[in-house]
Amino acid sequence: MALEKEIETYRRELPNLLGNEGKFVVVENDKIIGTFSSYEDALKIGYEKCGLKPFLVKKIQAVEQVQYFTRDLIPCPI
Amino acid sequence: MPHLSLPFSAGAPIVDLLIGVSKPRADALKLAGHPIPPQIPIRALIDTGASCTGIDLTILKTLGVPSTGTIPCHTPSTKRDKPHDANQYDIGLVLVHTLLMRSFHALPVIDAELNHQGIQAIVGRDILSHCLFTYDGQTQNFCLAF
Repeated sequence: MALEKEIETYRRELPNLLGNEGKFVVVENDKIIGTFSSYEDALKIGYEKCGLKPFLVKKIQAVEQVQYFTRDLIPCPI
Repeated sequence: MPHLSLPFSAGAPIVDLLIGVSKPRADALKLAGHPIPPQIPIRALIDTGASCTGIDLTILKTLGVPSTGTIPCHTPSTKRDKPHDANQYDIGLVLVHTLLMRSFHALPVIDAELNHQGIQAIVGRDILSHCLFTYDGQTQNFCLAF
């Protein structure tokens, strides 16, 4: 699974991140790179700090917002 | 306000888009001395029932973009308490207009298999929140202003 380590890190650190709920966090491996006000800013710093190596950008939310689709989408393997 | 006023295609509001890597990724590729993949022209269905935009996986693979996240999604097939986690990618997207293009430099999208539906993307409400969309079923036309 792609970004497995980063997702694990995000879940582990979520209680500490909730002070910045609504912002975007950048995670590389088991390291929090930083939190940012916009998705674009987070992405920019992610690429600046990690280059082309994998990193996670996630909106900080106590309860993750689910996306809805009224048509069936065939899920692609994670 | 620039707008696209078009007839339905195959009975649906379908627009032309250009899909490329996001600007931050393009900058990183450039810095690393890698070529920036050219934008890919695709056909996309405007789907007010989609809360976010989805792109066919083959397009994302052609661009060589890696996933930068996952996001839970509900579709008619998912169970009420079990959304599936979709891969999320950062892309650049352009609404094609003859005079004025509308660009999104860094947009999070999910992957999906859509090619078999004759489209390569669904434009969701994340993009429509920046637009005015009029659907005229009687004349089989639609208008997208942005």
